[in-house]
Formats: sequence, structure tokens, C-alpha cells
Amino acid sequence: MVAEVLRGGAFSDDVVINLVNRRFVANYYDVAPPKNNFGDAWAYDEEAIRTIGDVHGKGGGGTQEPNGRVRADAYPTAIFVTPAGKRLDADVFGIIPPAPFVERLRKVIRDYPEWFKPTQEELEIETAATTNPKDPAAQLADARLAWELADWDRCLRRVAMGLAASPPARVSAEFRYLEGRVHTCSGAFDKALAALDQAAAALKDPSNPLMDDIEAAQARVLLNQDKLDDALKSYQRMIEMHPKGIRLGEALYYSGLCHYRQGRKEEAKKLWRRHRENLPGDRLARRSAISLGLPEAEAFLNQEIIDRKGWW
Amino acid sequence: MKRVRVTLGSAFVVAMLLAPLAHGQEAPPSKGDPNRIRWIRPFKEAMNQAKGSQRLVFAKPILGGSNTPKAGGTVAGGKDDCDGSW
Repeated sequence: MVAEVLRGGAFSDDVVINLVNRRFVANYYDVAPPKNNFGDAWAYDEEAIRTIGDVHGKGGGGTQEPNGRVRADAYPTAIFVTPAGKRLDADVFGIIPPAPFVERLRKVIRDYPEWFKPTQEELEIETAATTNPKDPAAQLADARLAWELADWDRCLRRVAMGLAASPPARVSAEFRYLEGRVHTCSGAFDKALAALDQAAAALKDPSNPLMDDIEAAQARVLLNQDKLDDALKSYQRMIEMHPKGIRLGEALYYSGLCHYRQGRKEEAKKLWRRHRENLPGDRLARRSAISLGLPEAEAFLNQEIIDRKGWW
Repeated sequence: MKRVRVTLGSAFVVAMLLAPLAHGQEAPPSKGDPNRIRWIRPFKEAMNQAKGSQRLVFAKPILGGSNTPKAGGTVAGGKDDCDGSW
């Protein structure tokens, strides 16, 4: 049986994306020239190959055993290079969902602190929050920053301080939203749902774009809890309320997944096809494409791998 | 032991960067997608930015190929649509 699995799946998760954008300079490149490449090799980059050297592994990817274990025999999924062109001994391999991938990034950050100093802007945000503990705006700015840095403790600390400062309803809603996201990432789903309910109650306005984020976060938790009907309702609301929202693709992909897991495969395919065709540039469109393009059993395997191992 | 072949999933990057919105497609996000890795290419430019900011380059090797379906291509699958870019 051949399965195509989103080895780069972690790269379409917003927690990973935020941390990469905050702390790294990201680049991708083709490892083989056109004559040796079964694609068109448009990103072939000799400079990268000269600096990084050969990457070893199976050209097509890794190998997954029936028990789910993934062998690290593929190209690395991430390689770290210093500004002087030295490749660190810290490659990341394998199909890697967001949670373990963030842990790997954190390890690199811990091991090489010299490359991860906060920017001046970040220092100013943190200083403002520290020196103005009763300013909700200052606390929110640092809570947002901490969220982007995947620093859960700091984010929750700022949320608590901000809420204690009696913020306006909109700000309070965003504090609760961040709190809910952090609890989701920590696996505390009941706490997450409680915080997200408070966020929705504080915001009230269903047309506010933040409500789209809140709804998506709630649906994500429900999906993690296998409450598929409830998750589906949330995604359908998102599609109806925010048909041009930035989370439309997320709603289309995951509502398809809810149908798929309940045996409604044709319904699932309709949503995935709509996602793939209408939003090809969406960060999750690739996953709909894979789900459509695989035989059913393999699509199921694909979803299981991606969604059951720490997907946020 | 039965094994499952797993292929590279890197070309979604290409899709994100290249895929244009064709006629009849749903409108793009109103304020852009804030949740997207800022890929810096070519590698030389990434290195320049790394030197300027004293950051590490996070490089992702791919075995490329376009991920954008050709006109009349199937939704997913086939040589001209998704294959070859994992």
C-alpha cells in the first residue's frame, strides 16, 4: 500500500508558523536539478547545495511502519544554518506534527541562544507590559507576542494580568481567546473550551473577525475530543458567517474531515474539492487535495497520522 | 512486515506561493493570511537576511515540482497536479 502523507504538515499550523517567522529566516530549495527531478525543479538552488551540502535520504520521503512509527530515512524536513554558513547538527526528520516540531524548535533555541535574542521591538513590548501591569493594552501586546513565540507560561501570565485590569469587552475576548489556544496546545481541552466560551460571550458580535478565530478554536477542540457533530456545526457556522474570512479554508477542510470520519465520504469530498479548487493558496488546501487524491483507505491513514498526534 | 511508503509533503509551499486565484474562485482573505511562513528565496538572500539579523536560516529541502494544477487537470493526483513535488 502506498500512502502520501503530508510530511510538511507542521508547516501549515499557525503555532509553528508564528514561531518560525519570529525566530528564523526560512528558506526552501530543490535538492536536485531538473534532469534528476521528477518535478520541474523550479526552486533548484546551487548556492543552498554548496552551503548545506548533500542531504541524504530517500528522494520520495520516509518510511512508515504499520504500527505508525516513522523511520527517519527521508530528507530532513528542517536544516539549520548559521549566518556564517555552518550547518548545525540539529536536523529534523520525519513526518512531524506541530507539537513535536515546536519542541524541536524550542530545543534549537535553547541550545543556540546566541541566534535568538529578542528584537528591540520585542524588548519594548515586554518592558511595557512589565512596567505597566494594570494597562490591558500593554498586557495584550505581550500576550500576543508570547503566543507567537509559543511561550505558554508567559502568555497565560499576561492574560491573567490583563483580565485583572478590567479591559474593554473586545480586549477581554482576545485575552480569553489566547487563553483558550494555549490550553488547547497544552491538551487541557475543558479549560480551553471554557475560555473560548467566555471569549465568545465577551465579544458578542458574530460578524467580528475575532469571532471567526474563536469559532475555529472551539471547533478544533471539539474535533480533538471526537465531538464531530458539534465541530461540524461550528465549521458550518464559520462558512456561513465568514464566507470570505481567513479561516474559510480551515472550515472547509475540517468540516470535510468531520463528514469523512462519520462515513459521509461524498459530502467530505465536496468540501475538499471546493477547498482545493477555490482556495488553492490556502495553507490547508494541500491537505484537501491529498484527501481527495488518495484511495479511501489511504486518505484515512493520512488523516489519522496528521490529526491524531498532536495536531493543534 | 508490511510497510507503507510515505512521500515528501513539501510542495504545498509551492502551491501557497504560486497558486493564483482564477476566475470564479472565492475571494481571497480580506486581510491576507497572517499564518504563513515567510519563505525567503533564493538561498543567498536568506543568508543575507540571516547575517543582517543574526538569525539562523531554517532551510527546508524539497524535491520540487509545481503544485499548481494545469488547466483541465484533475483536482488532485496525476503527473500535472501534485505528483512529483513531495
